[in-house]
Amino acid sequence: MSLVLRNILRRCPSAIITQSSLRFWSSNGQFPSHPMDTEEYENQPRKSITELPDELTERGTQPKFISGYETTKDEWEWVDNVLFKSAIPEPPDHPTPSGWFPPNPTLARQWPYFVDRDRFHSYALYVRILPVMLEYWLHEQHRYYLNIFRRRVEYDIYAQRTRRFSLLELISGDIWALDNDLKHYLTKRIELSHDKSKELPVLSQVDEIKRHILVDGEYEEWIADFLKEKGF
Amino acid sequence: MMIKSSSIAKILRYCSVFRSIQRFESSTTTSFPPESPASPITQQLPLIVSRQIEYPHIRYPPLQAWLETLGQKRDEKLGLVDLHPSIWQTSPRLDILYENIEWQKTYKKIDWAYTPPHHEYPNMRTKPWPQKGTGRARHKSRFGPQWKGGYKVNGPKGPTSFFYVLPKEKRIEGLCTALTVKLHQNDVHIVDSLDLPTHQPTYLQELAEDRFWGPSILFVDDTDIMPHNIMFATAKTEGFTLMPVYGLNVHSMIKHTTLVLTIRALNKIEKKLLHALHSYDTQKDQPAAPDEP
Repeated sequence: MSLVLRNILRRCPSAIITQSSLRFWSSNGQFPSHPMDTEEYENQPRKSITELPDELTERGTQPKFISGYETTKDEWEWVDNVLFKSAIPEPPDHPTPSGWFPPNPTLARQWPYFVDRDRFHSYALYVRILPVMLEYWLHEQHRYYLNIFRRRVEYDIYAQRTRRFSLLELISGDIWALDNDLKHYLTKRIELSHDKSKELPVLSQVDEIKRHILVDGEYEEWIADFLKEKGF
Repeated sequence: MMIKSSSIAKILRYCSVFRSIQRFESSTTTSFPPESPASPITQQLPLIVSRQIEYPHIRYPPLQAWLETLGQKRDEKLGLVDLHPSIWQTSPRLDILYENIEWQKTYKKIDWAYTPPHHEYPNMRTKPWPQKGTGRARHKSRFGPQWKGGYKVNGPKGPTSFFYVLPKEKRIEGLCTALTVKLHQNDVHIVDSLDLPTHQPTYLQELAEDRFWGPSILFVDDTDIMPHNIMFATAKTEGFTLMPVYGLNVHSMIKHTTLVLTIRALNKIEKKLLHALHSYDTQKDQPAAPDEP
């Protein structure tokens, strides 16, 4: 339709349109003017691209060949195995081939602190890449930052990647004693390993309210060995 | 469960009546207390309610608390109750406690402030005075944002809700922290049942005063159908609240000075919390709790 005609239609009342011969391009005057909100349109069987065309589907028809089948309630355990269970099974009392070790209560009781396991019977030991606030001061401009997932994260130029932390949670008892022992253990380990990327001293942050210890650097395996030695 | 020698000494010291020791296994199927609630205690004393502790903690043994009674004014201890250390001996997370209380306050909040925008104002397109000539500022209409009584451009629009649901782990940790804090500040009392001999509120008030149970008490039972006497007494007393287990929340526990639990409530709370602490539910597959009606 041309622009001129469209403007004329906009300004003419619909009564004129219905009476005159311009009727064929206006709505047919019935309500609703568009099929969008009608019941039949809403309730029509929807079709997606992946569905088969009508001729090939068997809606309402009996299938040509039905194999023999039998409904039983035996051998439910095979189905039960596959279902999701919220209950976590108890682990064995011996070390497993995957490298998992059970806790040693007699050994764990002698220390003034205790590191509990999580509900899956593993150490509460995690790696963190923490966000950092943007600093605008000139003396901070030697720091390096990366933007990852819309967060500003500190970049370690010596390790040539983002700065990583190891987080140890679920601590009860004397946290500072655990912090002390952990740092001694890690410094000894670093001295023995002669690894240039690991630098001394080992920095750690103790949070007494959240009961966790954050160690600067990726010392996950060594902290796990430390916990194993203590029997946690 | 074996009885330690220290606990026997405690019992002998505090119990006025020493009879033969009776072992009382409590489980979900048996009813507790058994019978004759209204009359004074006729069971054999002391009762050591040896409860089955699920998911025993590696490092910490179960805590012990006195089992008291509301059936008589005299403060006689009936025995000892075991408490699970994962719930009653956590390292209290005060930040999570704060988050729980804030959540309880704000999730019901709806801000009804509404400032209509310019298209909801009367259509005064007339200029108040001509553009030039008068010494006044130039204006297009009487309802601009700079005018008194004019519309606001970016004002509050409509009811805004502050609804959110705190993660399940934080809510559980909040409850455990609150229970730990209450226990270690001597504000938790475990009672055999909420049966009183009289419906007079003075009985309960005097009982609470004698035992230094604080101005506000939260009585928790396992079901929401309570005995008539305690219902009447708490209704007439300011500060005494009755609550079923499903209504237990951090704000109420902290608001009331003392917390009085029945044995059945304690069983139910421990079962639910331990089940939640030692299982893994994704958001999709959250089955109904095993005990709920």
